[in-house]
Amino acid sequence: MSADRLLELDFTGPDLPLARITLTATLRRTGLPGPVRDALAQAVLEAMANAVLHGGGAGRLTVGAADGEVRCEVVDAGPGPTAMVPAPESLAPEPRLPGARQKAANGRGHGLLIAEALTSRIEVHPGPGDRGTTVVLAASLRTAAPEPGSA
Amino acid sequence: MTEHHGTTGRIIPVERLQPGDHSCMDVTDRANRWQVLAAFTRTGLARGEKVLLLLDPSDLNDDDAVACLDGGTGHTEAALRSGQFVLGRNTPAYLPDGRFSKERQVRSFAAEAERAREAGYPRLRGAGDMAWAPRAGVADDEVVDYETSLAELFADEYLTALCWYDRQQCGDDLVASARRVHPLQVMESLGALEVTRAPGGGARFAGSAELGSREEFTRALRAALFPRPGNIPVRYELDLTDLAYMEAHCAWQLLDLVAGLPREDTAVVHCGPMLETALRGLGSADVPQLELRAADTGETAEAEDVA
Repeated sequence: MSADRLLELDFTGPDLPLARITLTATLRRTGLPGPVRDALAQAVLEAMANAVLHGGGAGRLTVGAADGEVRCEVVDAGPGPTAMVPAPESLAPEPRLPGARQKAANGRGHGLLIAEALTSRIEVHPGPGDRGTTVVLAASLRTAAPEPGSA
Repeated sequence: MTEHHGTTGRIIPVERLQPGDHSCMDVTDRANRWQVLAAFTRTGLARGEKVLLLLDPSDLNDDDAVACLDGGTGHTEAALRSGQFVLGRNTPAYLPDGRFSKERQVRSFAAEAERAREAGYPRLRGAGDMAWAPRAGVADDEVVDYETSLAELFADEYLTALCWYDRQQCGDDLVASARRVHPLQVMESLGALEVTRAPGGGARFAGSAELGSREEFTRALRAALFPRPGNIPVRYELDLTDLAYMEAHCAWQLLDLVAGLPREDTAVVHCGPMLETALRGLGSADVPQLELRAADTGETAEAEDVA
């Protein structure tokens, strides 16, 4: 297995806008087709926001390429994968959408919903040493763009 | 669309700059300005463009500036070595003999673009601090005349430029003039949101709707989609084409608010492909009141420019 480390970035909430630009710029360099790159960026950014909101306020993003795949990993030091919950009640809307009502019922939050819909592979598991959460999102350099809403 | 803060051009986030754009930025906060410059530089380098940055002599030294722009990625440092990124100072660039000449400056930038073209770069993007002008005693009218005369350089869409005017150094009058003469104004803060309510209903959102701006986004959206009195079906126009990013939470808020409108009403949402992807991923097809109109904002096409 050959791996190419493309980006390593520590972030907190205020860092997110520039981290978004840096992630997008990094993904541009991978050769991913535009729509796939956009979808992966959106999904990774959701995981980063989740890390800030539910994972202790900070996280680390790593982007690498290996075996024909671009792999993004978001690690936080929060309480663990159970923290992947919907947004706080004060901000969360009452679901009115037929499909979304069922999706929201699974308690995984809008960010993770969209991440699942947009990436070819997503893994959520406890972080190193069973602390925090690690989210892995990947896109194949060989696949076509995902069909939004098909998940 | 309403005018905003005396600006005649569109207000856009730096992510929305396209080849051929001549923009200005009103600077009041140095840290914010460096974030925008980092975004400007990293995006340009990733697209394979040549990037030229002209700082004021009073600004960070070269090493600190490059470190700030690079952010640990290594790309800016590598580009500096290869010549893809050039860091200079505004005084020698604009006042090589201590005097300013509009004609000489236009020729100088035209020659810079020609050199970049000959070196094989798909485009040239440049950003410069305009504080040299008031310091050298160049009149505001002369600066405005110079900025206007640059228009011909952008005609072939090879050049992208960002001229920033520090309010403290340039003064309110010159900043206001710069806003009037540039076709575009870049937002000073990354991650910020700019909302312009349309007189007939609806609104234009520019910037990004993310963690730091989500509550502002939701408030503005609620105001834009406020129910109208009477039984006539309402057509709301939401222009999100200059919203460079929308997180899932905000996309969800949008879908939920539109789904709560009377069934006879329509919310027409104009957006780029990335927002369209987010909205469709969250089930926009389930909202009959929503009419999604995606436009090409150049987000995807430029992927092919990667060096």
